[in-house]
Amino acid sequence: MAGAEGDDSLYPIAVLIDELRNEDVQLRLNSIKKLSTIALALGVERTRTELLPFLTDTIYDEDEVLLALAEQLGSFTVLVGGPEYVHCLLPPLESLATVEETVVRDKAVESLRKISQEHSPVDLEVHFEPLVKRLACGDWFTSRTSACGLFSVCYPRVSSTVKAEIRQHFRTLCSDDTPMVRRAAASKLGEFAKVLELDYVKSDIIPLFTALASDEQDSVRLLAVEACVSIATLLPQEDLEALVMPTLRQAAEDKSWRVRYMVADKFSELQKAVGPEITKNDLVPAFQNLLKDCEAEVRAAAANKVKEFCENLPEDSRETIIMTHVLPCVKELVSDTNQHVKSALASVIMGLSTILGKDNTVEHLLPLFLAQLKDECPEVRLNIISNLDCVNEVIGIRQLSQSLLPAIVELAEDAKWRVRLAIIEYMPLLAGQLGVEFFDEKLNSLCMAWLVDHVYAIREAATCNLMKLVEKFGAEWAQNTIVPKVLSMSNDPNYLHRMTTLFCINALSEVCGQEITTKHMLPVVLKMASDQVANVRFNVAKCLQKIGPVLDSSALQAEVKPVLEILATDQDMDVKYFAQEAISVLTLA
Amino acid sequence: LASAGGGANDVQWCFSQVKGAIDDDVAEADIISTVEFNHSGELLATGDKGGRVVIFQQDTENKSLPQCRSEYNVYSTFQSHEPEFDYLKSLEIEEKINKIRWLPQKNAAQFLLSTNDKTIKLWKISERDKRPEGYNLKEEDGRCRDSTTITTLRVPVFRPMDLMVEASPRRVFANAHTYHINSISVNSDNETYLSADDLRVNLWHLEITDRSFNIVDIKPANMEELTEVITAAEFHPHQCNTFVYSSSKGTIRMCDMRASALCDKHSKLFEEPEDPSNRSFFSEIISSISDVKFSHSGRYMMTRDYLSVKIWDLNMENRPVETYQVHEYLRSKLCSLYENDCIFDKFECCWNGNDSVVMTGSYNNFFRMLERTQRRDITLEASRESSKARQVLKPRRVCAGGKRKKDEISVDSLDFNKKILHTAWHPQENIIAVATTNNLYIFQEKVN
Repeated sequence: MAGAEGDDSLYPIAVLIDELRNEDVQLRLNSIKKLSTIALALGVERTRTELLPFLTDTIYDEDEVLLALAEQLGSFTVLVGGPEYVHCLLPPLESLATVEETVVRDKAVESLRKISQEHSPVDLEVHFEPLVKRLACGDWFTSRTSACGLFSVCYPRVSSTVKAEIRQHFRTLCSDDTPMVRRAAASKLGEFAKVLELDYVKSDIIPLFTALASDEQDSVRLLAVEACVSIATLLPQEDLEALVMPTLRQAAEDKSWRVRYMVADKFSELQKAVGPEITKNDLVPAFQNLLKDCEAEVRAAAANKVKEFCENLPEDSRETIIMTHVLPCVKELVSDTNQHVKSALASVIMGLSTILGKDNTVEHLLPLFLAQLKDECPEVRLNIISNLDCVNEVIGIRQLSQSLLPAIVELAEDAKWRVRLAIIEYMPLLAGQLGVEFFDEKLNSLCMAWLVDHVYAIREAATCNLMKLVEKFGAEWAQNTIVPKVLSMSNDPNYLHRMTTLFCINALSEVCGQEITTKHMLPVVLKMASDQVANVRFNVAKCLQKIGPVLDSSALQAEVKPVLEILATDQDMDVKYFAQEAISVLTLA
Repeated sequence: LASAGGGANDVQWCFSQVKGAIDDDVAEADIISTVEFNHSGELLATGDKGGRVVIFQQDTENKSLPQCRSEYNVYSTFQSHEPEFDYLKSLEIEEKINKIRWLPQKNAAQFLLSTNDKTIKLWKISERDKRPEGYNLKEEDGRCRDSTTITTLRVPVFRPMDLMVEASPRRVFANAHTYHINSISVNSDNETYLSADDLRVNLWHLEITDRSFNIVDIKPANMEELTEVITAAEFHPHQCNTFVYSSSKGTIRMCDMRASALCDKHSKLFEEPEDPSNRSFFSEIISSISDVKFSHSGRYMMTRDYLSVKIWDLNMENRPVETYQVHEYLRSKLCSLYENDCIFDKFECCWNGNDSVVMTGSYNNFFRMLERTQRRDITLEASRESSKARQVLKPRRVCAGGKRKKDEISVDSLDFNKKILHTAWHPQENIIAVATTNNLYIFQEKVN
């Protein structure tokens, strides 16, 4: 490595090492992120004997430094001499696994899990498993919570005596005094169950699962719901009824709304895990109850799952179940008192139309869509509008236009400008869904009306909307339908409307292309250069600067340049300024 | 006869220590505003009007010598809050620490929450006894080394050093309270805590600072209809879903967070019907609850109003199971106490380790111990006069009227500027901390 005399190549490494303990966090962080460079320079032996002991003691540092360190150590195996020496990484990671910051601990556990795979079976029992035990028996809950995440990675690769010990440790942690540890154990229960032999799943995991699911703290019980999904997947169908369902039923009716919320939130996963028969007999009534829950948070979570739940129902009875059990609840939710519930429903309800088919949609769902489209809460209405396409596919555009369009038009003219603004933002989407013909017929006039709205934000959004429409429907459509209307506004007595023409041209010139811009737009802009209102004139200058790149050089020289030169001598300061700016940007000077 | 010696409880209290400056000239910033033992009792924290937190540690070296066991020495001092200015509302935000709450210990370090009127902070107090040594490019004293002479790389090593205690801010929970925060309380689930101001209670996750959930909101749509405010709030010590909050009308509401996300509807309302014969102009003011504390067992809660301490069984809502008069002799002086604003003083209260005795403060640097099983009580005084080491505190008596006996103090000679608002009881042992204006007294059981 180092020669007898000073070695220049060592200098950068020396700086990096010194900065490991710099007062500036950012510098320390940089150094930690280049830890592999340092280790490479030191060589495997010095990394093991000097660098790692130093790092083991650095746990006083800031969280972000520790987080980076925990991450680095996960891919350090080569730098300490390969799998043979991978156990040298355990001490620093062990100390990181006990710090109070959850993110750091989690990262340390993640790295430990990663390097556990690089341990030989012997090393795993000699080095790794004792570490897990130490953490599991630690004085502080931080170390015990970290242990919970490590059982599943060593279990499959150790002897049966050690396996028995690991199961014992896990059992102990599941009944730990502190809720933090019980929560950690509950959240790893499913993962641990996956690596256990089926007999042990039944004999060990099920009692733990039952106990955690009836823990006195609801923060623990709700995590058992998650474990329920993985456990149910592991067990054969015939055991589910006896081993899992009592607990699941209990959770769905738990006294704490947070637990019921969790059931609602995980409903699709649960449904897949328990299979069609149990779904029909148990989950359907449970789902109905969740949709009618007294807590709005629960209803909202359940409402979010309506579409997925219905989709995953067994095909033979899907329609009957939806029509007789789900739809009545959904109808009630449409007029729920809580807007989050309604809005959650609105985001998925349209999806039901594909499942139920045209006739049912027209008969049963359309009235609900209409009701939601007229909801007082804008979020509900928007969620409906943004999903119109799925209904379009089922019932066709004619039907849709007759039933839904009046409601959309009504919103487009809403007295609240924020509502109008939201509708404008959905116009390009609607246009895409409905097609050009339909758009011209029904919506085009709306889009033009917004250009003369009395609120600037609406006019601005309307301009931007036009650009997006042209992107969808093409330049030819623009020339025939919107450009004439936009240009006619240049003669409007209201100078604000005249300016809107300019803003529209700014937005449209590029998408419309050179021909339309030169032939149709440019003459109008140039004419407006003699407008009596200074604001219009300087916007002409700004507009010319903007559309300049679209024009060819002859038009620029012959038409634009003279006008800008006149404007540059305008008596108004601002007009002068913007004209001069345009001249210099377009290099016409 | 029964009260000879130790008095109400069979414990004889003796002086142990006094902290703080002795001179009579009290700086505003030095006024102690909260006192709190941690869960083991090994640490004792105080907050003051200057925004500082001082932590005392129980001397462990002499623990074998019984007479010295409770010496508390300064462990760490840090500035928790600074004065601020809310430019939008043109309001000054005081740095005064309103409450301190310790978190259950999670690793070798200690954590506490401290709050002023608006902002709650999570502090970590940790020890360091090693420091790294050895640079490549400079000497330990900072002199640069010639970089051309580097022939080999040095990795720093950790060497032992003198113990250093560091306090570092870990989280700042801000911008969630429009009104003044009066309480914070850590949940037994160890991951959430609540904070209460005059009109709202918020629920926080200890690791998340950018949002909190509003669980109680008593703000009326029209502020002119406001008739009561929240005065204190606390989580149940074992049931993570239960918390209570007290109001200026003398009621306590218990809420179950399992029932719904918003706890505007209480599950229990603890309220004692007012005695019509005692009704006066001051009734409402003196019935306002200044503190509420669950017993360690979780079966009872104690409330303090201006004149009394009440103990409620959580299973009985219509009246307290025990009521103790703290300074009934003041009932005739309410008018003057109203005029000098003393009637708005917020006295706190605390339980001893096994819930058999409660303690609360009074005026004239008196504090009261109320023994529950035999309903006996005693008044003690925190004063410089009786601050000789291991001196036994003599019980004090106030003459309520009639002829003043020897040893009694007349109501008229009480000093209302000397008040004990904040007291704390060691969670296991008979050691108490009592804050007078700017001094912290520590008393302990006399060991024979």
